[in-house]
Amino acid sequence: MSADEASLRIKKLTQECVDIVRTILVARREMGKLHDPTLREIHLPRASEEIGAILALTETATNDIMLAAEDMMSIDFGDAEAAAEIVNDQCMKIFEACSFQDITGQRISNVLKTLQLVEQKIEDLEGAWSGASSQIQPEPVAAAHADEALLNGPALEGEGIEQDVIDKLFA
Amino acid sequence: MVDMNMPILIVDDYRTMLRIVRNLLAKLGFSDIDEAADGTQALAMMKSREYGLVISDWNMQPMTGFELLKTVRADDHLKETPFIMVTAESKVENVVAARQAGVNNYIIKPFSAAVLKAKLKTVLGEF
Repeated sequence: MSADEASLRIKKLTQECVDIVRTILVARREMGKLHDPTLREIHLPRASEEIGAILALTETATNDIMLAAEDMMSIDFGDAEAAAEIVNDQCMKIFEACSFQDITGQRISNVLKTLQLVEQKIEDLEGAWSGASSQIQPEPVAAAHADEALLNGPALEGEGIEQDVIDKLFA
Repeated sequence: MVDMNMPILIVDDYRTMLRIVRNLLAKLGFSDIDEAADGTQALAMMKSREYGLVISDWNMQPMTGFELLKTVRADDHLKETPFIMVTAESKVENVVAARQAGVNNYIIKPFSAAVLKAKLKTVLGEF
């Protein structure tokens, strides 16, 4: 290899290195634009707590339903009127316990929203790395309509107010 | 005295919850119960039939229970209808907003038959 050829190859390699560094810097800058601290600090911990609340609620509901069933299994059918009363009451307890389905449904919807947020971030990062999305900007958070801001779903432990406090407001 | 035959409208997008409330009301002695899956459907039903009570969830689409409440209170023909919100939305701002919009009472899900009965007595009177 002649000195000219060697010089040319070194120049080409140097240019390639410069291009790689430039690509990394651009990708890093684009990824920086996508940084969203609320995902790690708010949405993911919230999703984790929602799942914990779902587990606790389903456990309580299952326990309540089983207790009602056990009470009915131990009925003394010698007194038909008393037995009917117990069956009726326990059936109502089963209905009450089944309301967990509504609450867990709303909690799962909240977890799903977080998963969709994570999916969107991953797609944006892929775009930033491929260099095809130099125009990517973080999604501006739309100002929620006053009524929409009140749609929070079931509160977690310590977030909402208890029924007896509400009762005082309506007394 | 409360007319136990008065029509009651329950509004919820969860069929399970509609069934639970319907059964609890039946257990308490109410027999004429209609169901709607959201505020829009409920409003249409309220315009074609006079209800003695509306029991509504909050979080529904396309019309929420809160929007239904405000629409009902703004309507000269419907504004006197007793309205109870039954919802998982338990933040202070929700309760205050509903109170200001004219809700008669507010029940947090999950709730018991005893709580529903107590609120019905508060809103409708003894039965």
